[in-house]
Amino acid sequence: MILIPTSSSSSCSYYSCCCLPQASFNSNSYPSNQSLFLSKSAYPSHQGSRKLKTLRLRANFWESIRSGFVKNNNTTQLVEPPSTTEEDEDTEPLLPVEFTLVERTLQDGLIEEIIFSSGGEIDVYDLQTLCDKVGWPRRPLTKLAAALKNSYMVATLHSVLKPSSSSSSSSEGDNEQQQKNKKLIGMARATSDHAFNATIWDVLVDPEYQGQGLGKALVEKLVRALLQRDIGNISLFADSQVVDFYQNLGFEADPEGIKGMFWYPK
Amino acid sequence: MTEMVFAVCVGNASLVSMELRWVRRSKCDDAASALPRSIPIFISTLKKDVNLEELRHLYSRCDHSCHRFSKNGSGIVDMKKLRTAISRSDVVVSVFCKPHHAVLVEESASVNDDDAEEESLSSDSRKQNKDESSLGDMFQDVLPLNPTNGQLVGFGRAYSDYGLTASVHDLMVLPSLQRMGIGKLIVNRITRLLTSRDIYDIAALCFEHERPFFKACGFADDRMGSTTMMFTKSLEA
Repeated sequence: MILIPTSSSSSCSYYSCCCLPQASFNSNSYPSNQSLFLSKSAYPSHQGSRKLKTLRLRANFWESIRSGFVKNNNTTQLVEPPSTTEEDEDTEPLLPVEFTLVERTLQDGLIEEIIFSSGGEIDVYDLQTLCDKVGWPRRPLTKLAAALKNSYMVATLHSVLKPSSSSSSSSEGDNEQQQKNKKLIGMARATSDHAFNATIWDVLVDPEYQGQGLGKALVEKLVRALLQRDIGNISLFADSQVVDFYQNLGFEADPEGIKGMFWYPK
Repeated sequence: MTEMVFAVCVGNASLVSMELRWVRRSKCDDAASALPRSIPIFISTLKKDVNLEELRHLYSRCDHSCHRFSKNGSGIVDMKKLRTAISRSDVVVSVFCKPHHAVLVEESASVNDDDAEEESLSSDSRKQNKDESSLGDMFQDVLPLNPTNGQLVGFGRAYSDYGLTASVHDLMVLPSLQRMGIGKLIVNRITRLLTSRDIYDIAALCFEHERPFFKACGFADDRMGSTTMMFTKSLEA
């Protein structure tokens, strides 16, 4: 009997298994009910997308193994059509983006920074508090978490209060401090098929911060990012009082006779 | 419209991913007298049954564009984008029928304008539909229908956020096989799959002429009175 050493090849094969197109693992058909804290891997964008991709693939690999053993309640198998190697280039994960939108000094000497971020952490509890503030009906937290996780793009606005003595460059040292003072004040999200269509849902800004152009900035950035990815059909369903708001941003009501209809079971 | 269901269940008992059914044209539909009255169709919700080339053909035959506005681009659908869109859609429903059924309707549909020609053609095709069909057709009829030997004649897809909302798109059926209940079947399948995942906020963007169809499928204007808006400003450089 001849034993052929296979140690090197087997270890290679383990990793090569991981390098399947990301989309097939990213099926997210099981909204994770375990944690309500969503942390997309918050890697700063300068580290590059490759590392982010590999780590995500590895994590998703175990996720798919684990979920395969869990009760299978999903019959629509997400099997990829052949030749999906180009997939990685098309649907590269949206890199987390974060920058300061506005910085101003408040009356009591504190500095307030409004930070725009996309692809970052969102605490569902904070979001629910925000939804309550604007007067929206409550929605189940697990559904909210799943929706956020599986949205194509989620943009948030946070307000960070800093004491005036610290300079803005010492942000790393004060990180912990900032976390406590960080308040969610706005959000917007979009779902999409990553190619042709996108719908913007849930645009909201804390009433105390409204009227300052923050909502406009949120939607504008979202739309710009979508257009950059060549997604041409961007739609949304606006309540009557905000139709003008969206019109000013370049949206048109019922264009070419297109209307949205919703399904109502009898 | 009555249906006889021959369900070939694959997968979980409650949610069938592949199914064989019959669809029937209603009796009062005179214009389609040349076309087969009832045909078997195969419905699949599996993505692997979607042949992108065939799908692209279907888009052109149904005169359906992926872009809502003509200024954004028309003509042949971009393959790469189509592949992405399909892989990122959560629900995909494809309907197949036997090639000779689709071919028949293609021939009679192409001579729509000329009534006289249609008459002569219809008598030919009617001969084929009746029991004294050719041996080839009879053989075709006997073979079980499946996605590989069937032709794609209907399609619909939806993407969602797996939590709260979903959006239905690209619903289309070959024009000459319309009014047989195929479109409705597709929509029902999509909504069923979505509601099984506890998503009840299902939206569909439709043109004016598509509204009666969606209405018949159970869609209605937003009860909260929201206005549908789409981004129409052209991208500045």
